[in-house]
Amino acid sequence: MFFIKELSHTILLHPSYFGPRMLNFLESKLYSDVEGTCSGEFGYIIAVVSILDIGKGMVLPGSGQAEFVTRYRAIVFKPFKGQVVDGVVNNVTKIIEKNTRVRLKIVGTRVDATEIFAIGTIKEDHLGVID
Amino acid sequence: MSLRHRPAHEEEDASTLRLGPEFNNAGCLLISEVRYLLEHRPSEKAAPDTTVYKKTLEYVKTFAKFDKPEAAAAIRETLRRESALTQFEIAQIANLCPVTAEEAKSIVPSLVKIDDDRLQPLLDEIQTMRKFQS
Repeated sequence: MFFIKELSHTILLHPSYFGPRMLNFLESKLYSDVEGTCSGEFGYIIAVVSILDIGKGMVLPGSGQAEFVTRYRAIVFKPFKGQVVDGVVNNVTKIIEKNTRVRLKIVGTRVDATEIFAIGTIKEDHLGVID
Repeated sequence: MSLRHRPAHEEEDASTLRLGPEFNNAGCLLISEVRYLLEHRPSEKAAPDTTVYKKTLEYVKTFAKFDKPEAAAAIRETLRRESALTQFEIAQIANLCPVTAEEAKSIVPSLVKIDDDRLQPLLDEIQTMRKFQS
């Protein structure tokens, strides 16, 4: 399922970046840090839609780095056990041809550091090859 | 103090609408809406150069059921009339476009709470909208 979700991300900024271009830098840093990442909690972060708050920038004692707690809205995707989804066949073992479209039900998911794996079935009514 | 054991977190299961603490109340997007959002990005920001983004774009182009954002809005309008439907169920119906109430309940099991004679007219309306979108 795709969701629109409010998320937050903390950016540590080295003092050499303080200055007029800092906001631009923070924005591109946020995009490159979060877009395309995946976690078990939030699923895949597909794209940032808007930045809600870039944060105040608290200078940390000791290092001089500034900590920005940013809030943003993003399109995320997360598959759920029990959810019926459509998909395209990518890898073939037998019977079904590559690039066939299938409707399947997710029977289980497994979360890895950078990916979510899902196992599905087409062995139920209304599931299987679609045209 | 009670020593009764509580499960660390309830298991996620879409067939009973348990999506976990982060997603139980999150706004769902139709595949068609994701396609529109990805294809109409603000011009000042380049599209993310990630595999995840490219795969998603390809996926939503393949499976979006409605071409225009107005069509997706009309589908939402129709499904909102049935107040028992959750965000997740609305998105599943609009993404999968089941034809009959029996099919809908088979692929979205939580829909059993809605009588066939209330569900079927909604599905019929969606099929009509799909057929006549230009």
